[in-house]
Amino acid sequence: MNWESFQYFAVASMALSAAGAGFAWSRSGRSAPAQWLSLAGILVLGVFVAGFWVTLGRPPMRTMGETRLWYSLFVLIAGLLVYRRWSYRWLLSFTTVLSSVFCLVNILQPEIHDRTLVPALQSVFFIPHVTVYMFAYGVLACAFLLAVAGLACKEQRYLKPIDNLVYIGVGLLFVGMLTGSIWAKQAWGDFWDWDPKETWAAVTAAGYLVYIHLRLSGASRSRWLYLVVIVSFLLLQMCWYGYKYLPSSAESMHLYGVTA
Amino acid sequence: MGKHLAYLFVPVLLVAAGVQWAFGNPDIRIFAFPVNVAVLLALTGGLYVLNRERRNSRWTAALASGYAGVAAMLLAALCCLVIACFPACEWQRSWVFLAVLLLLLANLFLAVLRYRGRFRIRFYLNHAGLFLLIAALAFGAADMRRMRAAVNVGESIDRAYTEEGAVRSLGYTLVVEDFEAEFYDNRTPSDFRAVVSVGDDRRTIRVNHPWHKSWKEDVYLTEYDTEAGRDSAYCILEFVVQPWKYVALTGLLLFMAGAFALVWGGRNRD
Repeated sequence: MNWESFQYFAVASMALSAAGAGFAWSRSGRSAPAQWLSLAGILVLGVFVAGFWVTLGRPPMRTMGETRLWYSLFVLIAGLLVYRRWSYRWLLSFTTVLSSVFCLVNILQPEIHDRTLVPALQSVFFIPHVTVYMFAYGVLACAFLLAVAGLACKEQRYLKPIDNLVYIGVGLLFVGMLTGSIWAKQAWGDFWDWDPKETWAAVTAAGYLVYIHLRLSGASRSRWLYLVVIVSFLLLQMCWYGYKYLPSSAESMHLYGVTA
Repeated sequence: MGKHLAYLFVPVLLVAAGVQWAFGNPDIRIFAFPVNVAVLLALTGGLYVLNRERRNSRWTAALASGYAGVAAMLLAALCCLVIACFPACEWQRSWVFLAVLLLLLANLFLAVLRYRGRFRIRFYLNHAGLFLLIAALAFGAADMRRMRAAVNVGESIDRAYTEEGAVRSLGYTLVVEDFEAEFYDNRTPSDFRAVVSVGDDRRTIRVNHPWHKSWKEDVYLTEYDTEAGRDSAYCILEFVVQPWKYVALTGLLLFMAGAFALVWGGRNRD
C-alpha cells in the first residue's frame, strides 16, 4: 500500500465516518449504527496505516503527511470514545470533518514515496514518541471542539468532559515530551535543547496546565476556561507544524530535511 | 491572594529586569558547582523553614497556591514565546527567565510540602518530578560541558574543543579504530558508526547509541565527511559531560509516572 492507494481507503473511511455521524445526528442518545459505522471507518484507515507500514519497511511517522495520517486516525478514535462516553450527537460530525480535512490534504498533496529513515530516527523511542503525541493531539482536538461548543452555547456543561479529555491529553502529551527528552539525550546529548519544536511544546504544555490549575481552583468563569483550551489547541498547532513557518525554525533539529 | 501574589512576584521580576537591563545575560559559568548547589540548598532550605515557621501566613499560602503556579506557568510560557520567536536573544539564559524559574521552583517545592489532598501519589510524582527536572536542567546547565573533536580514522586524541573554542584535556586517550557508513539508493545515510577504544575498552558508537563513558560523561558520534561518504577519512566526536544527568533522569521518570497516573485517573475521580 502506498500514497496512490490511499485515496480509496480515505474515501471509504470518510464515507463510513460520515454515515456514522449522520446516524448520531438523527438519534437522541447513543446510536449503535453510528458507533459501528464509525468503528468501520477507523478500521479502514487503520488497515491502510498497517499496510503502509509494511510496504515502507519502516513506521510511517517521519514526514508531515505521515503524521497527518495518524492524526486522522486518532481523531476518529478519540471522537468515538468521547461519543460512547458522553453521547454528544454533533461530536462525530466534527471529528469526521477534522479527520477528513487531513485526509484530503494528503490526497491533494501526495508525497514522494520515500522509504528512507535517517539514523537519528532509528530509535526505540520513535514509535512511542510519535504515536503518543498524535493520540494526544486527537484527544485534545475533541476538547477543543467541546470548548468551541461551550463558548458558542454559553453553557457550563461542556467543562466536565473537557476536564477528562484534557487530563488524558495532557498526560499523553507529557509522556510524549518526556520520551522525546530521553531520546534527545541519546541522540543529541541533552534532555532539552531549546529547539523551536521543544519550545513550542513547552508553551503548549503550560497552556493546558494553566487550564487544569484554574479548574482545580474553581474560581474562573467558564468563558475564560473555554478560551484557555482554545488558545492551547492553537499553540498545539504551532508545536506540530506551525513553527516550521517561522524564520527561527531554520535551525530546528526536528526537520530531518522534510518539509511536505 | 492576588494582592499577596503580586507583592511576591512583581519585586522579584523587577529586580531581575533591572539586573538584565544593567548587565545583560549572565555568564552561566558563574553558577557552576558549588554555587548552583548552594543556591538550590538555600532556596529549598529557606522555603522549608518558611513553611514550618510561617505555615499559616498568607504570604506562604500565596506562594504555594495554584494561582502562583498559574502565574509562574504563564510567565514561563511568555518567556518560551520570546525564546521561540527570537532565539538570537538567548532569553533562556536571561536573569528574567532565571527569576521565573525560581518562582516556579518555589511554588512547586512548597506545593509538595503542603499538599494533603486526594490523589497524593499522583500529585507528588508530578510536582516533585517537575521540580527535580527543572532544577537539574537549569542549575545543572552551569556544570555541563560539550566538547568536539574531528579525529582521523586510525588516530587518537586526548583533547577536544569546547563550545567557546577553548582546548580541554579529555583525561584519557581515545582511538578511532574504524569508521563505516551505509546509504540508501538516494544517498541518504541509513547508518554510520565508528569503533573507538580507550585502553582495552573498545566500543562501537552510532547515532542514538553513545558510549556511556562514565556516570557523567557520554561520547557521541555526530558527523563525518559527507562528501566522501563511506570513505570518510575522519569522524567528529562529541564529548558531553553532564554531572546532573541522573538527577534530571530521576525527575523525568517521576514526572512520567505522574503523567501516566494523569491518563489513568483522569479528572472524574478527583
